Amino acid sequence: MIHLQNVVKKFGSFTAVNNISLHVGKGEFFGFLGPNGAGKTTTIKMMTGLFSPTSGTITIGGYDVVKQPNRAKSNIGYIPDHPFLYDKLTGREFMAFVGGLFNIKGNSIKEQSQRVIDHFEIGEWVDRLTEEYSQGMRQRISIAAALLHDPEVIVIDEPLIGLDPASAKTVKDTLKSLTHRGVTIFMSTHSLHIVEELCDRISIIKDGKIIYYDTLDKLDTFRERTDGKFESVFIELTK
Amino acid sequence: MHQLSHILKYKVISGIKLKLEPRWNTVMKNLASVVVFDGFAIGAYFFSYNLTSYLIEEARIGQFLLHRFLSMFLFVFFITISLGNILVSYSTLFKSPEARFLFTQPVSHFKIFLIKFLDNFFYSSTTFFLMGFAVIAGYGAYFGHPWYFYPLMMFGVFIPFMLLAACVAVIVLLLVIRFTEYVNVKHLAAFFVIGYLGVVYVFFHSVSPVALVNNVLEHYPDVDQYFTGFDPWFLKYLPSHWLAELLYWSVQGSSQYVLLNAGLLLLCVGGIFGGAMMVGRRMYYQSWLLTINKRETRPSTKRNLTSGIIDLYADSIFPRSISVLLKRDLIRFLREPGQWVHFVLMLLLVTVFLFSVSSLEVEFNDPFLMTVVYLVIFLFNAFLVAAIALRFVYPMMSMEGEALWSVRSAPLNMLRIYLIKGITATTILLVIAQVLTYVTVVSMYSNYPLILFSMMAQLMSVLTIVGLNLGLGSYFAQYNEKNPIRIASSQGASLTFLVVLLYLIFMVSLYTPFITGYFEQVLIFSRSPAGWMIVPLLLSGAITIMLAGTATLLGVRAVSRDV
Repeated sequence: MIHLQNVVKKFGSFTAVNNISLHVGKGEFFGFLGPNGAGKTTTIKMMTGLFSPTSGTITIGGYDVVKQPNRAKSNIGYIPDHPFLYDKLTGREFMAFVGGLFNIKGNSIKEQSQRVIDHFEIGEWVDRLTEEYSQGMRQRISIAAALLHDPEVIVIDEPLIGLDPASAKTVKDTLKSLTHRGVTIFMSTHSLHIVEELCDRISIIKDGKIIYYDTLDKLDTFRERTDGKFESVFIELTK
Repeated sequence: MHQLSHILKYKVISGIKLKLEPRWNTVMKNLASVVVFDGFAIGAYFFSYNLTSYLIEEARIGQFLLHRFLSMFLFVFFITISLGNILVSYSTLFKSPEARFLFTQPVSHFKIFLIKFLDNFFYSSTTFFLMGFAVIAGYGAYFGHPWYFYPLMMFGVFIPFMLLAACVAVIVLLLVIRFTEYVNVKHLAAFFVIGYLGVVYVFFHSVSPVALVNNVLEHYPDVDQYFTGFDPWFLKYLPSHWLAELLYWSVQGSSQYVLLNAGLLLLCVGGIFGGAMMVGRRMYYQSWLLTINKRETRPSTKRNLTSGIIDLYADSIFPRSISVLLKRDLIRFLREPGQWVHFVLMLLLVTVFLFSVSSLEVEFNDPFLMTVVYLVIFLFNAFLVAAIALRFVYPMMSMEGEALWSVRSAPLNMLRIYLIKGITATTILLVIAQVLTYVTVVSMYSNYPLILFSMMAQLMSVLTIVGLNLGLGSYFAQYNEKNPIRIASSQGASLTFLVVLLYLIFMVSLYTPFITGYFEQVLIFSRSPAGWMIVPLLLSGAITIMLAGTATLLGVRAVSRDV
């Protein structure tokens, strides 16, 4: 469902992403890890059309994000790490706006919005202007908006920032249940316990290069060298 | 003091690093700024020199009237700077993340106030410093002033004069915010706006420029006398008048009166600056808390999805992705008082201008004079459109803000978003421009070829002005700045406005021989031909395609770059 082939992203002379290749299958929950500044968000931004790759190809659902950007983006639900919203729109209006950008008909947006509003239990404040929202509220709105068009792929950058435990659980359960329905999740995070809990496979990026790309079980050889905790393995690998 | 200089040092370092950022658009912005600002400063120099020369030698209004006109201009300039500073300093003092950060550090409130005040003063006045110096240089060169006149005028008089306007603005702003504790903020704001407008009205009503000119010219040719008896009593208390008087006496060679007026001005600046600092020391932190408190305790109102044409669920004649973009922009515009209030005020200004111009009678027998009047009106119409475009079109792309991710990650071509904004802006400005043209030209010249030409020429102007503002506004987009007023007064915006002004001046000079030729036909040969307009309109169209096309290319490329 997601293919990255020899992807490079340079900013001037600095190489943020250095020739990475990844493949994520349909219905897979994929964790994308790495220390700060490793190239995670840059990779995600290239996948969602916010950055253009310097070289290499990225395809989502069989569509090249550079050559067929609209086709590729129609398949994606993107949840950014900083969920900036329009201050003067309400959460419901923001969802209607995003739904419209994906060309969903008015009545369908209404129904879909209500469905996600009920699911994430945000009805109490969804009709207030987003300028009044906390970080967690904004995060929940951006997650809800990303699910409106029933995307085949969800690209999510730090999914649980600012969420209270109950909301975090709802989000985790929702994402996991989506993979059971065949939706592919590409998640970048620093929360290693979430990776252990949810991900089928992971990839670790450091200084723009992939240094690990497999299932969590395959980390056992590394676990032996440390105290066995995933956290210690991650620190050892990214040293 | 050490802490203050430490903070200022890092602000300067950060500013310099930002300016010297080795990015193509930063380098281009800086280079283009240098070229255009210098070009404009040179233009301002020659304009000032030639205008002074014309008024003294051709129109022969005398030095007294010249400096009374200067006094009036400086008064309006003072009010404008002061109003502009109120708007910008609200953002700088009360909404800036830097102020919020500094309040969490062991930095005194007064130091934060001083830092943000200076920030605001230099941010909003730099362009005026350059233009002011160019105008002073042109004026001084005409009167043959010695070299030391220029730095003394600039640093000893003009900058303090602008500082005075900034001080008055910050005092008014702090008082307004402080009083919002007791009085409704909208009533208070309305009171001050009406107050400012009232002051301008009373000033011009009392000074009465037409009566002044008639009174002085009765004494022709002895118009260089000092006709102080014609001045209203309050004039001698105004800093703008002291500055004009200082210039008058410097021409007369009376250093005694020059020093007297300079002393008055500097004393006043010192006093008001001290007052502003005192008000800042006492009221800034309280006012800052008050604005935070107002924001946090604002009753949260639920809003149902807006109905009618701005219902985001409703289908329309446009594809959904386009209609939601249009509706979103309209909803955000209507819910942001700073946006629609400004727009209404600008439309009011346009209406007042239309009423004033429609009652003018311009029946001259001199083709050149008719041309001058026509082109002045054309230029003023275009200038109004340019001012509206700068305030509302230039920030359009920046106003996408940091929520741009939601649009960029959607299956939508950015070129389409760009075009939607361009078409919306062009439609609105075209209506305003054509109403302006129709009312002014039809009321003054009832001949159809000229009306047709005017409408076509304004169409070209609108296309160019929108193209430049949207294109350069996208190229220099500041997605992290929420305040459209700050965006419209940024370096990129000043540059855009200067380019637009240069374009308008060029167009006027291009049209001059054709319009003069037309009026010669009308007034001398009693004919009203139409064929003459083809060449200037074709040239105008070519310039529009070149300028608007280049700016659009830059803009479209810019909106598709990494965010």
